[in-house]
Amino acid sequence: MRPLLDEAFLRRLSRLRFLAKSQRGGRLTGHHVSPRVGMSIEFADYREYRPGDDLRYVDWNLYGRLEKLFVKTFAHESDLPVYLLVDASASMQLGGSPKATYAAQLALALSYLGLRSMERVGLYPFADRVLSNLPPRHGMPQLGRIYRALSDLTFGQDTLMDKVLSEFVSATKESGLVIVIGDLLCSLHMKEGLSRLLYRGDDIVFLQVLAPGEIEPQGGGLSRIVDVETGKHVTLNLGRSTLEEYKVRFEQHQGELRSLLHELGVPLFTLPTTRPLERVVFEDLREGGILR
Amino acid sequence: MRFLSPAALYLTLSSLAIIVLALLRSDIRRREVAALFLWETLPSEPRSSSIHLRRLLDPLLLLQLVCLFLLVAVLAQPVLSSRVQRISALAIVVDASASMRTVRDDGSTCYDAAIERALEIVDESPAEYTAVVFLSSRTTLTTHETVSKAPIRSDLSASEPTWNGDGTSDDLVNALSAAGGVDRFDRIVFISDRPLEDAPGTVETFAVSGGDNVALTAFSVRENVGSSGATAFVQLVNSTDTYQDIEVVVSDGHTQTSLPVLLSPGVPERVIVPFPASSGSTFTTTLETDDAFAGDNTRYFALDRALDLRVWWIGDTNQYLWAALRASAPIVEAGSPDTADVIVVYDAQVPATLSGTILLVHGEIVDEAELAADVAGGPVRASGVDSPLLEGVEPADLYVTGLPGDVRVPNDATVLLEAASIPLLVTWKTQRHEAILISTTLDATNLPITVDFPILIRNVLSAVVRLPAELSYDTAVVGEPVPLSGYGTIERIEAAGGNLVADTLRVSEAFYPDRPGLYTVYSSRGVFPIAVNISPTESSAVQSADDASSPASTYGLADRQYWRSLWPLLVALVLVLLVAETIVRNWKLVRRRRGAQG
Repeated sequence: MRPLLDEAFLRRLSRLRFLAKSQRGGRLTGHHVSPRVGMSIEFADYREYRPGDDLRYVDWNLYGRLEKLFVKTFAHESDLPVYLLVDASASMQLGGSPKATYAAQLALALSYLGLRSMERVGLYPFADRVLSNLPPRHGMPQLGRIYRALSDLTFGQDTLMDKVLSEFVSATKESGLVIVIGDLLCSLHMKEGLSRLLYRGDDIVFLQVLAPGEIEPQGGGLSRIVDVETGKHVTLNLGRSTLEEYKVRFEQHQGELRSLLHELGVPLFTLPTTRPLERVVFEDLREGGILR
Repeated sequence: MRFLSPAALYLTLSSLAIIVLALLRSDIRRREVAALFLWETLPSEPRSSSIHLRRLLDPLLLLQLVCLFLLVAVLAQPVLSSRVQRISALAIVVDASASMRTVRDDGSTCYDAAIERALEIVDESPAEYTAVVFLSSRTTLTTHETVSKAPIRSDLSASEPTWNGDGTSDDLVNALSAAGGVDRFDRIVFISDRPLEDAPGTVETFAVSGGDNVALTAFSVRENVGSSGATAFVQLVNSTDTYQDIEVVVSDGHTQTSLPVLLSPGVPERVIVPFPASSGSTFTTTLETDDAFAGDNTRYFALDRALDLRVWWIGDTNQYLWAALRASAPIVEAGSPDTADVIVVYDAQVPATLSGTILLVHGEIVDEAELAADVAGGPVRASGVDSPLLEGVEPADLYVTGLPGDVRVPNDATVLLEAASIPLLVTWKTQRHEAILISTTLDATNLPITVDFPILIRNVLSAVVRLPAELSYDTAVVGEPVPLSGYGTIERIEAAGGNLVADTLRVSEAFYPDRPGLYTVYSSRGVFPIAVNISPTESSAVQSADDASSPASTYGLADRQYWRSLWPLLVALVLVLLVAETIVRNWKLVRRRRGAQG
């Protein structure tokens, strides 16, 4: 797999940044305003001096007028940890142009975008569990690590989203922007995991990558339908009515997914692999309020 | 169309195996999906009963079957019949002798007319196999195993007449034998300016004739005895219908003499041309006439010069043997055995290391030829071995009174004459020398008083050196071999004007001149002129009129059925179909892969 992005696209990406819906603390200075006061250039408030405070921040003018010691506090511009959860289940290898490639390119683009805007970006490939983790870090060297991790992805078996999300919450202590990239053609039993993330204060975005044949299957004839993740299969003589029935069932699945995520306030973007990556980033994610 | 190996058609039954395999082949396509739950419990389409028919109509299967049938057809060797007017084998024999250079009234030569006629015959008698024979004293043959006329026409058009003499019926039969034999040919056409004697009965002769000819048919010169100069002997033939007042010119290269002659029509005339001022050794005679064949208006002659025979004598002198040697050739005594042409060993013994030609008369070679004490002899008889040494020798005229009781010679020696069952004349060769042994002394035979003795000695010497020819009108003839034995080691042969004809590397035992003229042989023994003329037969009366209208016999030009092999076409078709099958296969794979993405 070679999730390569062309240079012009990367230059355009550098003009974008993630837009977080909530503000939360971060360890390093970033582009997101943190509710925690600290050392930054943007003045926030005064508070009474307490022993141990840094005397450099004592406002002596105010002491001259009020004869009380106050120290200046500053609004802390915090960085936003961006967690990329990339589906590495066997089903991602399907498609004429594999969904995994598309997902990797998308993840790489978002990583670049985040790292350019001084965010910390981490990568968590998953299948039935979190397969590996690349904790969020600053700087462009992290892009190289993410690139290598995406290139060396080992695809697992089936997808257990609930378990994955729970493992992810346990593995990370800091809330951030959690971007889940996968086909989401799995059991929708993930409400608990999502709730834990939301409770921690994470922003969650689902990017559903689908092959065109999954949205509108073609072909016909006697077929052995094999689940690439479980190996189970059914034999069907595919015809127009069967495929129409499939589409109904697919739409039903998508509806359930949308309603689940909508209920939790989690945005979902369904992206066929035929949709150009630039349109996804500059149109879909911007219009969806994920990027600005 | 028919098949040469129809049994191979049974292989078409193997198509059943392909069909059975196609029917047995699972038609279930594998389709990998991300989530089986979306497909489970979907209603399956009812399977149509026409599915087997559709499978049989699978283009891949049909292509495979067609390929199989074509390959089987190839193995069965299909041929397509076609009928053409053609004969099986045609032989075109064109007289390529010198007389075919005769100019006709229309300015073309007889050879041109012959070739034109031959081309017409090629067109009117297309054959599967054509032999083109250019008949002369050195006949050439080319064969064309093709129905295409182009190479035959090219062959004929590119040919030229030779300066050779006429070919004979034997030459023709021999040439046709090399092409499969006379009987192989449905039609044999001979185009010539004169009929072929004793030609096979199946030969059709087409005559071409040229214009009037006056010819020199013989020329010889002999040096005057007792006075200077020479005398030329010239024979002329007037083949025209009128008297011809012509002039014969004889030249020795420096001076010339001429003689006017009135020639009667059709009568050979012999004239003697005195040439008192001549001092040369090569002569040319020319006929001052403007006739149709210029090739016989000049003839050449070279005086034959005898070579000195270098003799090294060992043993007693014998006057009879000396006399016989001198009768054969001018004799000089050699300075050493190494420079001798012949070493004569008379009643003596020599070492085996001696090299060259050794004539032993009651002589011995140590450890090689040894003679026992003499015993009573008897009549001489030939052992039956054919040898040039005995040419002109009559053994019955010879008698031996005594000869060695035992003659020990090498095992591979050839006994030519015997007396009292004891070898009398024996020859053998070793790596060092060639030996001729007369096992007894001449005194014990009647050899010295018989004419056979000088003949025998001359035969011995003629194998060693070139002996002078007797006065003769016969000179070397174009196209026939000129023997080179006896000239010593040949260095080169030049034609008139110094053109190199052959050098040491190319000279063999004989030299074949390809045109008339004066040639010069340069050898270790000197410089020798050789006169080469066209054959006198080329000047004999030619046929008076063309006779190309009615063939002597009918020939088998008929509707003939030919079979053209079709397998290359079928193989090409199979290759095209295999490519098509590959394309269809890939196209189906791509389509299936796309379908499987769902």
